[in-house]
Amino acid sequence: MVEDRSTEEFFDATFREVGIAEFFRKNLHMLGYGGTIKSFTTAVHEFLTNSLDACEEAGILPDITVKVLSRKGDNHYQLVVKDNGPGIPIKYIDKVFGKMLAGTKFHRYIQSRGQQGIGAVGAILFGKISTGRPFRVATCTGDGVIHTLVMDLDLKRNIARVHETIKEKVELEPENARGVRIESFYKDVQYSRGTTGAFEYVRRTAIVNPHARITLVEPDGSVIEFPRTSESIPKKPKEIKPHPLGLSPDDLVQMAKQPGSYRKLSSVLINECSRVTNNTISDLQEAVSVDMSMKPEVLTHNQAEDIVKAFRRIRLMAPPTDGLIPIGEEQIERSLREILKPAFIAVSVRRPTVYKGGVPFQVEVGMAYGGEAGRRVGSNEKLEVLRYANRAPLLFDAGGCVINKAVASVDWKRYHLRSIDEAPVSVFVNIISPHIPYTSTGKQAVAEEEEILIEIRNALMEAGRKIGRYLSGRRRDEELKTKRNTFLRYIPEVAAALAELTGGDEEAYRAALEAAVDRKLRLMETGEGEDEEEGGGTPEEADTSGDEDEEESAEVSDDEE
Amino acid sequence: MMKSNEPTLESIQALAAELAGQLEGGEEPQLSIPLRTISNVYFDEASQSIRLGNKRFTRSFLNTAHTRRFMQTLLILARCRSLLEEQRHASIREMYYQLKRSMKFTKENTFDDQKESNPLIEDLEVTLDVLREELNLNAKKRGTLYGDITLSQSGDTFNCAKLGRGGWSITSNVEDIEVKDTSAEFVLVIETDAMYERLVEEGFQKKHKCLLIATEGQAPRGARRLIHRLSNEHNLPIIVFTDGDPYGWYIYSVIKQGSINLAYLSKWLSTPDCKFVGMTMDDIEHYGLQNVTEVLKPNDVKRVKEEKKYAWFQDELWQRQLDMALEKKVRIEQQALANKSLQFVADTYLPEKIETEDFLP
Repeated sequence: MVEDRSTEEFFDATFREVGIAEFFRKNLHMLGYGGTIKSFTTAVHEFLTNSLDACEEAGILPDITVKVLSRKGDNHYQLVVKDNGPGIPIKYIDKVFGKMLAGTKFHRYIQSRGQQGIGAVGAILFGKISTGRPFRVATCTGDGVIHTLVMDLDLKRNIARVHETIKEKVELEPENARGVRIESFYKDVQYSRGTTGAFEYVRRTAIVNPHARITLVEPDGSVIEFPRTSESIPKKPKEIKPHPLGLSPDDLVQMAKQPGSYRKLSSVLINECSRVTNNTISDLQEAVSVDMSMKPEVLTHNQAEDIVKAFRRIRLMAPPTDGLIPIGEEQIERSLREILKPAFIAVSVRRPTVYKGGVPFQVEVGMAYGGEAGRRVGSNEKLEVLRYANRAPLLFDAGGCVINKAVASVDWKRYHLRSIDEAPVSVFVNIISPHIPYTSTGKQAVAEEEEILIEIRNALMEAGRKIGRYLSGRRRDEELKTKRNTFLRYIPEVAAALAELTGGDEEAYRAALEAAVDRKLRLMETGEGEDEEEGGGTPEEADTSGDEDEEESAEVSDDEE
Repeated sequence: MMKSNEPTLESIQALAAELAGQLEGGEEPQLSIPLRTISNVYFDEASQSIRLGNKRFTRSFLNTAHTRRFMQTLLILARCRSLLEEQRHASIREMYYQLKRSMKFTKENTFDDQKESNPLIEDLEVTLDVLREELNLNAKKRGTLYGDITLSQSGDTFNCAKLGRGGWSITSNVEDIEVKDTSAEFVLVIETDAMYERLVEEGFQKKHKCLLIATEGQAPRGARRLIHRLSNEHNLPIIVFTDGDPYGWYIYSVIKQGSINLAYLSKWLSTPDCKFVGMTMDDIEHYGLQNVTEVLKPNDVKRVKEEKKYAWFQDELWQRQLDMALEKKVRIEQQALANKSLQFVADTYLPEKIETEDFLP
């Protein structure tokens, strides 16, 4: 029996290579599929992100529909995401959906909202595991033919199998007959309107993509339209070469091992990193014993470590930041206005800078006050923090995120926001970087890098000052309105009494008094009538309090009636 | 002796015309009113009375802290004018009820309490430089006169010893009183009604040839004006008898030197020549009243300390009394004298102190 087998026999019988897809099948939580609400949000996120990226790459203004249908059985949903993107050529279909890590944006040093290229496949994988059902893809590249495929995943071979293909000729204009539609099924998940649910994810995505029109159809049939507020497609982020100070020893080793392109290590550094010149190399050579003209392929990890350390001892120019593409003040404002309908908006877009000495990043902040800004918990208003990294909404792990820490670090009282946690305020923060320092593989919170914290904090304070000015102005307006009402209330009586006394015209006095009120309030508006409550020391106090009190004890019964 | 209404009516017209002029000239409608607080009174050594200074304050329609009172002041002014034209008189309480109603187009009352209208009437007196009576306003009468004095008023002549034990109720306006005759040699002014009744029962006024005036607490204007006239016009010495506490002593000082609130009337109301017979802090020891004192409460102590600072309490004899009160922390009521016997005050206390002129200035 068992003891009779040799070790080799035992291995032959039990050892199998574990396919990457199969690995993830057993570790779905790593892809964000844990918890009923979070799992469904993650699935929506993957398809929506793919659609937005596809449209942008093709220069198309996105028009995306996310439809959630309730199916029979507990927490059973059908998810349909349809876009007007370029479509997927039929010969790539099985690769696109079958292979994990086979996307087009894997391993590029670029600001991108997508995660690691396993997105949509992860969602389909999760759907298959929870329901066992195949998924359905319809695609059209504008050639007048819609291909509809019923597909399944082959986890062992890392490919998708096509069960059935339906070709359908369409008679539409090419630009109207283009895009992808994916239908998938999920069990034991939950569609939610809560802060971590799919609704919130779509809403937040809409906020940072003013050029997209997104339609959400909820399980109960409600249709929510997030309209397009901008006609310009965001510029494509440029690929940026990594700056030496942002490199890890392993990055360096990987870079050096790229087959056959360079003969000397120095060439690798000059060509593959930003801000490395011949002068940099001479400086570096003085700081480290590793030979800069060595063959790059033989670079060891220890040597790489020495070089990374040496980079910190020499002068380097800061990395270029022109690869960063912010959403921009105008677009943020437009989109917050459209979606939150607030009374006031303040936006602050900071200049690009670097963290850890070498990783470029940029922060943009928007604050919306009043209207539909903030969250509603029952009848209470609460602060809402809209977190984004490279335009991708971050819904989970809020507590551990540098954005929330920055919000908490600001003394909001200074900006007339005494208790910001209970204010009708939405704070929008987008961090842009080719390398966002996430706290974990879940990619839902940004680590507390000091430079990032300070930038967010400064941006918040900049926006806070504008909000503060607005709020103090608004308070002033309300004060003036109250004063006006007070004056107006007494005018009829004063006019009547004056007319009785002088025999003059009551109406004329009323008009004259109203004119006097208007003049006074205009003065107050410009701050000139500010002596209001002062009124000459103790004057009117004389009638009610102050010195009179002293006398009251003695004179209290003086001619009371 | 009805005075002509004309000068008062003219003052009212002038004030109204000033307000109308401000409006027409595009200025803020406002009233300038002499300030009636301690910061604007001073003790005039020459006349030995509290007088009003020159400070004024502005009550502006366009100051939300003033607007309501500005409106109320005008309502009172207009009503006073119509009283004068109709030659009617109203009590200040009637004035309040006449004007109390909802304001036009609102649910707010023109006046909520008589405490709102009374001080505004005083503001108008001092602004127009007229007496309340000249605005045809009276206050409820308070205070009693008893003893052998013959007065005439509104065509009636009567002797105040022949009106029963209740005596004559002093009217709020005593300008029309004429003194026909009296056998009295001095006037005893008494704070409490009960003490007044005690002395009437003991026949004190007859035995000592005096008039009794009960002020029933703080002396009302009518009583003060009457005391002033009895002193000034008839040279009757005035002796004041109050409780031995800061309130009693202040009643005395108001009769003697006038009050802060009505400082503008001191000329008419104060009686600088009057003297104070008791109760004093010394009486406690002297008459063995240690067992019937009351403890000074914190507010009483505060009041004593305030009085110590007033210019008209600076006489060293008064300072000594106030210091003793602070030291002993007690007060003594007039009626505590009943501890000895009911007749003690009439038979012993007052005769002894008046005989030996054991007075405070």
